[in-house]
Amino acid sequence: MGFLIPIAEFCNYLLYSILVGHVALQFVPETNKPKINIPIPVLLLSTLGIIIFSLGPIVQTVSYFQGGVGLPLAIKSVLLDFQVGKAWMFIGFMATFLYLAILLKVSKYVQTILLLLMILAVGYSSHSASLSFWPGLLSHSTHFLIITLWTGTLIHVAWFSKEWSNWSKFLRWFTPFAVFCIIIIIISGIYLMLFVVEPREYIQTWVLPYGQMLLLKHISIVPVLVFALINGVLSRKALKLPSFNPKPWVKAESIILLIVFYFTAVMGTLSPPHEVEFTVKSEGASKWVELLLGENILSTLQLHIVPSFQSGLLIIVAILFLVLILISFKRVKPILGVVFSVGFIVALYLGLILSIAI
Amino acid sequence: MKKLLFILVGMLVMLPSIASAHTELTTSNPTSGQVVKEDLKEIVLTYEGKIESLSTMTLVKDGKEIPLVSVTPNDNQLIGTVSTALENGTYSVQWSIAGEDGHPISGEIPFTVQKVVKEEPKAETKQPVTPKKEEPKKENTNQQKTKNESTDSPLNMKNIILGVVVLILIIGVFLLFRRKR
Repeated sequence: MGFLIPIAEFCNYLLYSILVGHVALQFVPETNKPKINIPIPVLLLSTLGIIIFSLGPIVQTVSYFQGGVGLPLAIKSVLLDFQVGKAWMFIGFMATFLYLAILLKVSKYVQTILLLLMILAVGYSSHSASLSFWPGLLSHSTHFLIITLWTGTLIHVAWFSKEWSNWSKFLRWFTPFAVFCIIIIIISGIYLMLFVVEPREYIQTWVLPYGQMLLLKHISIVPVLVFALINGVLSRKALKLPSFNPKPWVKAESIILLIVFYFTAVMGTLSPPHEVEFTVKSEGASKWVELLLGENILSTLQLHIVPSFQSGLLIIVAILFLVLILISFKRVKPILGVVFSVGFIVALYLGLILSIAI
Repeated sequence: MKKLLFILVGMLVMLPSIASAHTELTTSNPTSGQVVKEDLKEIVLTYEGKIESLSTMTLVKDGKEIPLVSVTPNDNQLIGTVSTALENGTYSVQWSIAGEDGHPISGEIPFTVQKVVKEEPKAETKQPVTPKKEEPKKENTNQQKTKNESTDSPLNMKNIILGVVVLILIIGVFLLFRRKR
């Protein structure tokens, strides 16, 4: 049961991206984007999927409390009193309206407003909003909106476009747009992180499950940026060759983005390390890290980074993997590009974790 | 391509097993492992953020539940009151709450009441803060085991990991530069 929640959360991110991308691309004139053919049922199912997948945390909370107060009361209080419950009811209504709006091809402005309201509801039920309401809500919603905007556009272009006739024209606006998105995402992401992690405790958090996911998320952003570089800059030159097909490379970028989504989804189900030392003492460090380091972690006060021969070499290997991604572009092997990205994530992650000394 | 995708998905699904439970408790009165020497009529748990209405706690002494007069969630505190001051003995508060973001969390706070000074403090040294899942005994044996092994095993582990990653790198380079026939 427990592992289903991150998967539901991941599906949510994906479906939001598809819908946001769909609505956003309606604002782009036909000549400036590749021809995109997304089946209407996919969009309709996305709205329904959001209603179902957003239910994950609610089912979890209800099943948690039903033993104490009984199922009917648990359902009633979670739906009516809890922020997650209220947010889900609201998202449910908006998603139903959005379903109708897409079905009846209502104006794109109506669809935009409905989606924005849904994203605000996501921010409303977020962890950061429970810590400080308005700043948390706005930063979480912004972060979520911009990510889905960027990823959504990529997914549509990569997986639902017919040919790549307008590719240069598309890149002309999409590259600066993506750079803008990445900047906003990084700023809002750091701001959100500051809610839960003290910057000087960042390395200490690595021994906690939450910190593990945060580290993995941060590491996996690097290959995304490399692919963004490939698709935004390097592919412009390659486009002059008639044989060059940019689509697999955009697909590869979207796959790496989904990996980042997944780390985020898992992270969302873990308890944030407001006070690392306290959390380690009360719920213990990540078993996985203890296994890797071969010792029990009981305190983080002495924790520091000591690069060893092995961890140093692993970090060098990670950098080599990054170079290999670029070479795989030269040699037109997009699948290897994805493999090397995963290799980079694993190598850098292990390199950093193994250099922890307690 | 499909095989690769399966491996990737498999790896990712395994990930949450790295993870464990939640805690957002910041302070409590009594604290975990504390030996209380005065009359105790109120148990106060303070959390990181606001907690939701269904949040509750139970007080257990030697496996028997001690009825609480009231359990009130109040902003970021959960307050439980007992009718009469607690007698000497070993207690444990079992709490389960939900934060405003809907994350349900639970935990246990063991403490001892010892108003007469004669008795020896027994329980408080044995029990550190323990989340429900883990048994303190197991933890101790694990600790000893790893301490015995820790002289050589981490280095081996590191070398094995390094070897595997380098191997993957070499295979990757080979695949990359292989000429198509």
